[in-house]
Amino acid sequence: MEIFKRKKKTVQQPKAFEGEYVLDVEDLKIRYETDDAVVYAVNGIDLKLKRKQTLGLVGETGAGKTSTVLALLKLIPTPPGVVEAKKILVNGKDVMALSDKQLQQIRGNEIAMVFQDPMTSLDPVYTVGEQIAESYMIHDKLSKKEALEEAKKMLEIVGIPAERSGEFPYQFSGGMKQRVVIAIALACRPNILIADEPTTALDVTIQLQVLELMKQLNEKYQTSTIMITHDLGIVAETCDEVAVMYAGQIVEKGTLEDVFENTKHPYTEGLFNSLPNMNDRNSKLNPIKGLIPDPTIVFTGCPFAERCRYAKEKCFKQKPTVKHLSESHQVKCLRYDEADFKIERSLK
Amino acid sequence: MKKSHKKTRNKSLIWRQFKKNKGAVIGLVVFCVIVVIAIVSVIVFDFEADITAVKAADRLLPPSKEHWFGTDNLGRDVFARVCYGAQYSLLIGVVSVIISVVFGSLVGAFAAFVGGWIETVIMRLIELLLMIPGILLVIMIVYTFGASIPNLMLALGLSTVPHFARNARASVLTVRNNEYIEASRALGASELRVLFKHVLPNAISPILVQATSRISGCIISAAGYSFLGLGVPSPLPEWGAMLSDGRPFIYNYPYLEIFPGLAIMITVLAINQIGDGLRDALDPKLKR
Repeated sequence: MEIFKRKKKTVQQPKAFEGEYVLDVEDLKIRYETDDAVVYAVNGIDLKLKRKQTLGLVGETGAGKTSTVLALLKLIPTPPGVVEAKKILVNGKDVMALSDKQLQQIRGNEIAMVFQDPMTSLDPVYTVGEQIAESYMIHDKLSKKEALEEAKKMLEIVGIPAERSGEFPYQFSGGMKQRVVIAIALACRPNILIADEPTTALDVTIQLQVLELMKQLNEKYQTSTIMITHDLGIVAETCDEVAVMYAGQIVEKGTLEDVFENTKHPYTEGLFNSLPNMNDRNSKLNPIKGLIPDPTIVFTGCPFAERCRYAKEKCFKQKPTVKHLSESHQVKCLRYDEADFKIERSLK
Repeated sequence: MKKSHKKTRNKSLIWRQFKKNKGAVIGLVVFCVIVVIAIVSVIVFDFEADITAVKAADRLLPPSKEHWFGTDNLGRDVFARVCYGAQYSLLIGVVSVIISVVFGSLVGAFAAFVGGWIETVIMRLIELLLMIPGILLVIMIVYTFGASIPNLMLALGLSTVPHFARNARASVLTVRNNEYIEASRALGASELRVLFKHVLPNAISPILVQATSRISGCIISAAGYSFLGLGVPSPLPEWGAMLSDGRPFIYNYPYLEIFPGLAIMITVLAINQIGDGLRDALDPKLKR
């Protein structure tokens, strides 16, 4: 009877949760203190995520996307990492205040992560079935046999025949491995799924399949998702909300429509402009000039000012503040203090 | 069951790779034969009557039909003694390596896994042990606790602990930063679970290869220490001790030295071949 009850738990809907936001982060700062320098990876960001929503976290390499989500799991290695925040609430629980044991209960159970490279995120010495079963053994306290049965079901759900549960990761292709990784992450029906560039290592046709699968499963299990990517196409395809990160800050945030149709921040504009133009095959690529700034520098002004073609003198001297343009849409740019300021993209 | 059938595939892959190395397979066969000899001789020979009993009439007989390897200066059958001695060499080799593998690799793996100042302290302490020459360590232990097989095992095991600790540390350091380790943490696995279930199994192959080749090293050392009178006490037919006993008769009765010497050589060669084969089979670059 006991066993029956426990089994039922694993196939139930997401963990009960009341409250508007499954994730509520305020003023998150992460820095890495090494012997030579202090690297400011994340400099005060706010994130809120509603039930069943998908948030896209977009930005260049080194913008602090991965650091941000690792902090949600409290997986930033300390030292050298230092994490500060007013609050990081996952499912209403303050991650910063939890003990190691409580953290282990949350990880994988309430908030789970899909890593970037499926080739390296599976343990080569265990069969895929055993690896999926591990979450059931840790969180639902199932016996190995029961857990393996559950794992087979989960494999079927992500579209892999259950007979293959006894095979090792090297016997799978990249796309299949990523399905396995997704199966592991969703095994315990977490409320929040973090996908750290889940399709970067896959080719385009497989990307589509994996994204479809994730979308489908999120609907089925009512999971909220944070999708880290630098592919704007994926964002358009999967996300409800978008946050654009630059140098450890969120420079623009809004619904998909806000950010894509009604772009406000010069950096976001730059991202769109640097996409290849499919209609004019002779046109040159139009990248954002310059490089992402050295993260060891503390900025007195806007970190994007050097690369920004709208930058004025004040942009270098004064820190930009968050401007709320509508209920959902916000931008961090000084030029919007001027009533008639518009970037080129919105003029078109 | 289907699952267990599939799971053996990975192991059979290692086995297939191992089989390609002819020397390793021969080594394995020879090693198995030696193990069988060791076991059978315990059953067949009577320790009192066949191994240690002095028979003055049979002194120093050359190899013949009755005494295949001849007899020694006390009239004991050398063939029986060589066969009976196999168990000591194998036991000493295996047990002392197990001592050093378990202790050394756990300490090394723990140090690497935890990192920071704890790692530094542990590794420096281990290296302190490395500074003491092996033979000195053995002399110290044997003179303190007396010459016996368990003490020899302990001494041999302790003297190789640093090597295993350093190897395990290096191996864990390379595994520790893999993404699947972080992934298992993100899954909610406790640190102990991560170390024992994910880090160690992935770091085990170099330790295993080193352990195999250390067995032969320990057998040679044990024979050497017995030869010097530090190891297995005299009436026991340990190969090194037999070499030591036969030394005065080497000019006129060389077979007293040849057969125990050959036994040591064949055993060590076989184990080394197995070690080579294992190294090739477990090498990730050659596999798959």
